[in-house]
Amino acid sequence: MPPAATAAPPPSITFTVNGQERTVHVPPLRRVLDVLRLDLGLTATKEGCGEGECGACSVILDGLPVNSCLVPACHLEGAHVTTAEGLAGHALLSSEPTTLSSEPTTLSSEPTTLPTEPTTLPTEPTTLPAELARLAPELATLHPIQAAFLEHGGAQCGICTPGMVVTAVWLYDNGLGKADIERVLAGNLCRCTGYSPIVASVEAALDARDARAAAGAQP
Amino acid sequence: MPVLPAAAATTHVGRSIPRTDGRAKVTGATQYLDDLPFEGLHGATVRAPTARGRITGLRFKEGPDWSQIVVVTHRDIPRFARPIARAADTSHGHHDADAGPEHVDLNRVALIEWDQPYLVRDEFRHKHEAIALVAHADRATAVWAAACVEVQYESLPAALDYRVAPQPGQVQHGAANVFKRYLLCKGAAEQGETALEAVFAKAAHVVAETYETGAQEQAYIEPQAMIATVHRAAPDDGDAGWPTLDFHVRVEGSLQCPYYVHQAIKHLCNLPDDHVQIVQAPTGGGFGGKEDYPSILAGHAVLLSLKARRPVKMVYERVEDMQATTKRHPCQTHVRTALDADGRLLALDAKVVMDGGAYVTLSPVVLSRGTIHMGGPYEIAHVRVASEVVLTNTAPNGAFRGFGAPQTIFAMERHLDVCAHRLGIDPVELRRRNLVKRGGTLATGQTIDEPIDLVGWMDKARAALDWDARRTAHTAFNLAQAAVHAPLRRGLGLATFMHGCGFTGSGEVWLASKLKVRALATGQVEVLAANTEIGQGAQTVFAQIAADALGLAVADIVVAQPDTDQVPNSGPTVASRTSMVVGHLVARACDDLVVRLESAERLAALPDGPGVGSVSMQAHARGRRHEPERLRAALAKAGAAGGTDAEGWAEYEPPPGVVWNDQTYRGTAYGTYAWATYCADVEVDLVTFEVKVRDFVALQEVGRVLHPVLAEGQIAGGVVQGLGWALLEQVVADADGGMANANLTTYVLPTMADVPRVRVLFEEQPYGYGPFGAKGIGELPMDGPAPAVVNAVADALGVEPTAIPLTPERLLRLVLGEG
Ligand code: FES
Ligand code: FES
Repeated sequence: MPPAATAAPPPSITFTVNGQERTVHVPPLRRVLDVLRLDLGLTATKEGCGEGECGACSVILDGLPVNSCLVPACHLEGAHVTTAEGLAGHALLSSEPTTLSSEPTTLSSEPTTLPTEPTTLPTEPTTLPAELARLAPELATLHPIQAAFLEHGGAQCGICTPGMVVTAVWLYDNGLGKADIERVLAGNLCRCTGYSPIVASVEAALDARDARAAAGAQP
Repeated sequence: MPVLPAAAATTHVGRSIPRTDGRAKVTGATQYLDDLPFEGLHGATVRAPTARGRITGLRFKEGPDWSQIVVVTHRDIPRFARPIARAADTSHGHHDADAGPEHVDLNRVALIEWDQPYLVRDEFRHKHEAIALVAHADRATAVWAAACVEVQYESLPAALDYRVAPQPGQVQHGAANVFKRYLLCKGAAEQGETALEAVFAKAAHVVAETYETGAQEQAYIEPQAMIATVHRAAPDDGDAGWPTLDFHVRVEGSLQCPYYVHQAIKHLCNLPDDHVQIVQAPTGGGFGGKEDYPSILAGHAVLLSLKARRPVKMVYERVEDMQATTKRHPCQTHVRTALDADGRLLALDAKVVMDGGAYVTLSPVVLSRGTIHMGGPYEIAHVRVASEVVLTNTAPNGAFRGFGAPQTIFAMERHLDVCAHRLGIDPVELRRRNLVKRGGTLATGQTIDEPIDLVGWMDKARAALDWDARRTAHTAFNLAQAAVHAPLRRGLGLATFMHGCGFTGSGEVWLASKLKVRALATGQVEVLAANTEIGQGAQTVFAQIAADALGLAVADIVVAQPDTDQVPNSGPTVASRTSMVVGHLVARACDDLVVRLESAERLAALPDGPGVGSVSMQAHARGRRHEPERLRAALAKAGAAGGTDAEGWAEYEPPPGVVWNDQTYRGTAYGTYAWATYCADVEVDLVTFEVKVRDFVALQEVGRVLHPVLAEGQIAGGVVQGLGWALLEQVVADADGGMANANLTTYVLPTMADVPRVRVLFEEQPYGYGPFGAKGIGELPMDGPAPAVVNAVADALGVEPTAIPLTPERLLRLVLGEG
């Protein structure tokens, strides 16, 4: 197929990505993946297949994880997008988890209802306790999911990792539980880890989140 | 060669430090090839439309503005034959000492046989073979232009089934399309056919069966990707032909083996060593798939860049990557065993046939490893393994984790269960009677001189799965299901196997890997190796080893990006050799650096230290350590001054007693082996014929575990690739031998929902010739999952599957008795 003709000037599309408002002038059917990578230089989001199978291109679009290779740019107008670049800077030991539901998710087979509000992630890096920062400088300013991937071997070659982490962060920030891991992450392929280390990473982060929530709930 | 004491004390080795490239990976900061800033053209490939034919012309269809498109065909490669040195530069220890210097056309990819062209001149040999290249500043335009080139051709008869002898018109290599044959004989087989048959004639039982394994796509999530930049010395050098030109080529890409690409581009461009620079970009998975193919893609990018005089980037789309690049060799194995009345293996007679695809590439060495591993970890007095790899008109098959061993191990491990069922012996008991013990010999005649306890390890793995209790429970479960006509059946299966670490036989000696470390003015030490970080954690493990060898912190170590302008040739990143073989060089080079610092009097030798020599003794092995602050100061001083005093070197030395005969296939095939038992617990649904793996235990002896989290990750990842190969991943051929399902929708990879949590257990018996006792582990986990899980299906259903992938369709036919 010949590349799309560029007779008419492309429309302008304004949206928020990782907390920043951006405007692009692109054809409406351009893939969101290309808008991010080529137009905005946000290359953490990867292309593994270009056909919605691998999840390497996962981003959070208006509160839902999507394969950005399947979404046309016209959907971006007014939207909120979070990519892997927008995750670090999250408080590692924040005592108030972002949008944690008060109820621990039960092991129900029912699909968990999805939040309708866009997930907001703090943009300010919260400083670590000095002692922890000294002991583990590599954990400073990472999202708890990212820190857990680092500790439990969730990333090997790393090409699936931004998409995997974005999806896992969505799960974490929306109060979903261990029983949801497989269902939520089954759309993200990883050829390196065999998934066990990824599941271990996400479980460890969820355990810590729930322990903090329980501690915070104590009067 | 110095032997490390097994229990060398370590601070970093053996601990799961955060991987040194981890932070960049979890934040998405790592820039892979396609993420790098790039100004230049995008390349695309015109490919062969069918299995085999003679090109009669290329037609450039109307549409694209051809004046704006760079086109390269075989005509752009000068017709010039360059001398090659055969013996020293072939891969995987494959070498032919008799071959003299030889002149080879520039349009040939440097590998074992140099038979594959970069761009077809007359006759193409497989669908999707590269015929021409195009480039344009806009990637979509380049892809479109490639699609607008019509290849005109006359069809030629194609050989498409490796199991069938070729018709006369299909012969394209030798007399019968056979790329390579091996014959491995032990015991009576060495005396010949009659003696071997006599063993079979006297045996209480003879069991014969044929097994088949399919092709498998590496399916690294980052497709093949390369950028080439050609700098010409003079901008107006005319078209005198490359042999007279002076230019410099830089290639950066997603690849496993920088020096393989270096050799290939040197040949293609007829350039000396220092005019070609190959840099590895962070690589999104390899598994063998980025061992040989990157030489071709790099060549294509270089050809376009030469003509365009601009940098050229080539990134494959998933479809193209699956259609055009290598896969695991399909394999058919006929196994015949003689057993005594108690189930002891008396003789093994195997015939292995692999599908090599259209060019030789790495097939001889893949076949070699498969041949050697055929006999498994069993004591068998009489063995004959006859093997061959043959040409077919499909994309060449190549390296994929395990490298021929998974195919023959599948056949042997499945066959043992078939034997057990026919003899009425428990498969576990059959193995107990046949597993090799210390002092015993493998099929190659190699005597095992390690303190192995294969039976004990097998029992440990079974205990971890709670084998005996589950066996009882499954029997009851299956009876209960059958009683109410319910569809579920459960079963247990296991495989006992080993994997040779490093290159085969004298391969490591031929490679003669070299490694350098150097002091930096910062007081840090930089490790310069050609071995690549492809996800396995090589960078982290090298840093741990160097830190412990020097008595410094991991933060004191910098591991250089592999760049052939900077790093010596420490060999390819393949064959489970990086941690064991190259890691040992890291430790020795660090010792060499310390000794040089001492002799240059930048560092006072410790009073208890012996004199220094040119080949360093292991400083850490002797427990000699310098106070870190003083060592850092000495390093900084040496680093600032530069020169040879600031460098430490190590070159490979073989462990004593490694003698291998390439002609007879007898001797020490590998300095050591990793040993394993894998156990699977499955549930089969007789409505959908899906196999669910309920639980999986992977127990292995791998020497010292350098980094538990990384090692477990290697095993878990390999196991899931093995489960995919066994149950899901099926390469479907179209009528022309092309891949019909070249996408991730219909070529099904395991997802998180398809696999159990893999339970990984290690036995550690430090190996004297690996760093701090480590052996190689990268490929081992690919070997065991398929036979373990298929044996479990056999146990659940009472059928004998002989072919993988064991898809629901295949299992349904088997249960219905249709093959
Ligand atoms: S690139 Fe979007 S799902 Fe694979
Ligand atoms: S694909 Fe390599 S870490 Fe997941």
